[in-house]
Formats: sequence, C-alpha cells, structure tokens
Amino acid sequence: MKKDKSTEKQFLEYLDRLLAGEEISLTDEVSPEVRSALEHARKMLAFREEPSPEFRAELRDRLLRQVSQRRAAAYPSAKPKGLWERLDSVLPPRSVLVAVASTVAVLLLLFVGVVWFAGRGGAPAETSLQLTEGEYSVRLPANIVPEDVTFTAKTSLSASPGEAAVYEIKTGDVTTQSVTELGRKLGFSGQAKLADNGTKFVMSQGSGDEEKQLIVWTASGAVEYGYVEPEKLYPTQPVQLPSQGQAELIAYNFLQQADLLPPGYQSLAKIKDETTVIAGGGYSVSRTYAEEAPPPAASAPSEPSAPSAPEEPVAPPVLTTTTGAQAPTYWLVDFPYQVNGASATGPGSKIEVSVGDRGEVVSMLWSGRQMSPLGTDNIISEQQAFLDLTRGKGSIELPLDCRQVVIEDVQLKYWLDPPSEKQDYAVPVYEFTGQCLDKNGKTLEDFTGWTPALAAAN
Amino acid sequence: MADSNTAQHIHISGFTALYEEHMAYVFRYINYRIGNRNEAEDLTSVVFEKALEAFHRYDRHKAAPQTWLLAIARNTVTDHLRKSSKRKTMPLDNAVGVESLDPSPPEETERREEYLRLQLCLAALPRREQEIISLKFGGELNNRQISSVVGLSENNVGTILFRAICKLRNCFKDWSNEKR
Repeated sequence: MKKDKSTEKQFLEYLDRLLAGEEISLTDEVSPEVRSALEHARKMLAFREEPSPEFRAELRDRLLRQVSQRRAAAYPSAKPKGLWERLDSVLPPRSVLVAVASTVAVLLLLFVGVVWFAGRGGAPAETSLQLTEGEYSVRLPANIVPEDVTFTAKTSLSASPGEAAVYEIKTGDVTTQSVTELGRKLGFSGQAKLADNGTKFVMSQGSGDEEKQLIVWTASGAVEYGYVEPEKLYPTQPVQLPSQGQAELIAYNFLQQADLLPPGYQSLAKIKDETTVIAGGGYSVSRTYAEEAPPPAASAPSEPSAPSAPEEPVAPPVLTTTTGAQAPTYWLVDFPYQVNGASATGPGSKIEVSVGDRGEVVSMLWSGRQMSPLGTDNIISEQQAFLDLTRGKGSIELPLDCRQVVIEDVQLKYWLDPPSEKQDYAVPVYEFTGQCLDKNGKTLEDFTGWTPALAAAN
Repeated sequence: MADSNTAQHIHISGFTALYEEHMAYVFRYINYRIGNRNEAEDLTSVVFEKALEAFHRYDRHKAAPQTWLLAIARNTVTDHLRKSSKRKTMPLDNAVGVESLDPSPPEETERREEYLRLQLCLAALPRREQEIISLKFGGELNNRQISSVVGLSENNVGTILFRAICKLRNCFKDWSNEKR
C-alpha cells in the first residue's frame, strides 16, 4: 500500500511537470510502472486537439452579438421597432395600431405620473406602491441546475403573504474631485481619470508588483482598491499575518480613514487558499472558506453601534509565519451590508477588506449604495417562494453531483446588483440557504438560492 | 454618470478577456469528454453562453475563472450526455475498420487509428475517471482544483488519476498487441 502511494506520488509529480510543458528526463529510481504511465500520458498530450482559429473567432463574434442584443434590449426605445417589424405581417394596419398604442401610452404615462407623484411627493414610507412590475423587477442570475434534483425544506415556511419595503437607490455624483479626494485619503497622489467609456474613475500608484489601483464605478459609486498583481494576495513566499483581531482593527481603521465605514460591522471568515503555478506559467488560485472563526474577545464588534476598540491605536501586529500550500495568506474582513436593518445579498452587497502580509491592506471592495424608503409592496409567502425555487423560477447554481437540496433557512433580504450596474431600486428577495447532498446523502457543499419576493414580480 | 449600457460594456470587457484566456481549456476538456470535435464546439458555445448569462454574479473570491468555467462545462457535458443518451459504448472492435477506408498515407492512418483508440479507451472508463482525466489533460487543472470541481478529496483525485491512466495504458497496449 505504501509502495502504491509512493508510486502514485511519483507519477503525479512527473505528470504535473509534463503538463507544465517541461521536458522531463526520468531518473533510474523511477519505476517501470510510472515510466509506462508517463509514456501514455505523453501520448495523450500529443493527441490533444486545440480549437480551430475559425471556431474561436466565430464563437467570439457570436458572443459579442449576444452582448449587442442585450444592450439593445436595455434601450426601451429600441424594442418597439423590432416588435413592429416582427408583427407587421399579422396585425391590422399600422395606423390603427399606432392610434391604439398612443392611447395606451398616454394612459400609462398618466398612471406612472400619478404613481411618481404619490411616491415622491412626501408619501409616507408605509404607502403601498403601485409601481409596474418592470420598474423594480429584480435581476437575479440565471439557473445552473443539473436535472433530477429534489428540494426539501427542513425549516418551517410561512404560508402567509405579507408586505415589505422597497427602496430607491440614489447614486451620488461620482466626479473627478470626489474620487481624487478619496484617493488622497488612501495614499494616492495625482488626479483621478475617467476610464473605459466613462464607466469608472481610476487612480494608480506605484509600478510593477507594487502598483496599486483605486477604481470607483460611476454607475454605483462602488469602490475597489488593491494591488494590480495578485502576488500580494496569493504570495508564493511564507507570509506573516497579524492575529485575526488585529486584522479586524486594521480593516476598520482603513475604512474609517476613507470615510467608508458601514453603520455596523463584524469580522467573519478566515480564508485558506492554495497557490499553484499551472501549465504555461499561468497563475491560478483556488480557495475554500474555512469554518467561521469565533470573533476575538478584545475587538469583536457588535452591530449596530461601532465598537470602541477600533478607536484606539492599533498595537504592533502579532505576526505569525505561515508556510505550506494550505496556509492562509490573508484575512478577509467582511462587513455586513444592511438595508435599513435588513440584510443585503447579491454581488453588490460586499464591503470587505483583505489584510495580508505584515498587516498590510492588500485589497478592499466597498459597494455601499445610498437608499431611501419608497413605500411598501405585497410579497409572496415563503411557501410560495419555495415552490418557485423548486420550479426553477429563482436563481441557483448547484454542483453536478447534487441530487438533493435541503433548505435549512429562508430570509427576506435585499438584492443588490454588481457595482458596474446601475440599480434604481432595492427590492426584497427570498434567500434560501441549506445543503447540497449527493445521491448517498453526503453533503457536497453549502447551498444558496434566491427567488423574487414581490408579488408583482410573480 | 454612466448608464447601464456603458456599465454593461465594462462587464463584457471582462468577459471577453475571460473567453480569450480560457476558451481553449474548455474546448479541450469537452473534446476529451465527448470525443467529437463538432459536438465539442457546440457544447463549448453553450458553456460560454451560460457563462455570459451568469458572469455578473461570478465571484472571483469563490473560484478561479478556469475552475468556474470548467464547472459549468462539466454540468453542460453531463446534461448533454443524459439528454442524448450518448455515452460512448461503441464496442472497441468496431472502431478501427471505419478508419481503414481512409485513403491517407499509412502513417496518417495509423495515427488516426491510435487517436480513435485513445478516445475509445477513454470512453470505456467510468464517468468519474473520464471527468478527472479530461479536467487534468484538457482543462489543465491541478489536483486541488479538480477536487473542488468534482467534490472529492485531493488524494482521491490523485489516486483515481493514476489508476485511470494505467487503465488507459493497458487498454491501448491490449489493442496494440492484438494488432500485431
């Protein structure tokens, strides 16, 4: 058995080198078994087929066309033309339709005007909304679900529909001046520059591996900060990390100096990662979240009030050297994102700071959005939402081997789009969490899925 | 202030870069799994269409791009095989005769035969072994990344990989011996 393992290990080491494009010469200590297996591996590589340049270009064009179609769909004014063209042959004369459509449009405008007046004209937050579905429909990602998956709820689901608040998102003006000022607070000099067709402001500092970048998205005001090269997050050398508690303080102080502190915060997870150089010299990282570590006694903050500890100067970090492939290389300090006391979810709900070697802040994501209550609207029951989830109406992604999803919790949260997207309303979604099990009932991974909560969206 | 379209633009720029960098891995993985170039191209298209759909919620903190794309590819291939019931079960003995009609030079014919034999040997492996071989040789993932895609421990991946290669070698050797 031991011999088998060493043979296997030897083979795997040589195979990785082979796949990395290395010319390997086998020493005498390599067993015939490994030799012949490697010979076969060579043969398999020799027969590996590459995608043709024609196919590569054709698929690229096709994907770009799809992107263009999405863009066109994003312009409401572009839609009627295509629709008219498609329906031209089957509908009554255009003049009649135009007259009808005009009447409908006027009525709709009147309706929207009334709603706008009620919503913005000093209406109290508990006012029931009458917005149309499209105005605040939630843009959940698509499903990626294998077939033959069963869903079970291991928690009680309410059968009662209810009401929930809807919020209007106000993105403040992101200007050269505001970004430059933020940059100064974070140690950048010079002036922010608009980049990528006005989608973001960028500031840079340093060069090579030491180059840092500050990005502020104009669509949302979200901020990204960090080193351009991944070396600081995924170093190949052993790192000296501060203690978890100190990492929290460092993160807290970092946000404080930039005036980016959220109303409440707590530290969460320690990240373990693996750094590997793969074939072709490419850099690849795969990471898994470790069990949530208990908050440190001295600095564990509790929401909603800010803790007193971070106001004190940060003591010199207690550094511990970590080595080996599984050693953590940074602490991710994750701050909760709340919408008037309710949790936020989705790709735009991140406020997190990564603290790396010697307590340096190596990256930061901050996607805070300013919101104000717009009113309330009807929501479906948890049971209905669960049913929607099982019917593929929501958004979930499951591993291939998942055969059973066990729902352990359901919460009403507010969905936030990615920082690059403009979002006008924050609306509630049901977030389901639980476990994915394989066919033998073994847990594969944690499960998270969402369904729209507003009755109007269903 | 950027509107949603310009925001989409940057979003798509990232996707285009992702495509350029990782398309070949996805194609090679699928080609190993399916063993048919045309189908592999079709499925590669499906994978990137799915990825485009889901790209705005891709979280780089949870998975490297290659791992994320190959996980989508793996689901896509499995769905394809389930739907088409096309798991390759062609008896090995039937394979070579088809190629012998080819008028190519003898060396080329022999190479094609070998290629076909390799594909058939691969198709004869259990699904799990096919997947791991394809992720390794096609997707060029390391064993830890493979373990995160297929839900096995890294050690198990290594063991299965070694055994699968040995099986392929034996399968190929048997055929070579018979041919002589």
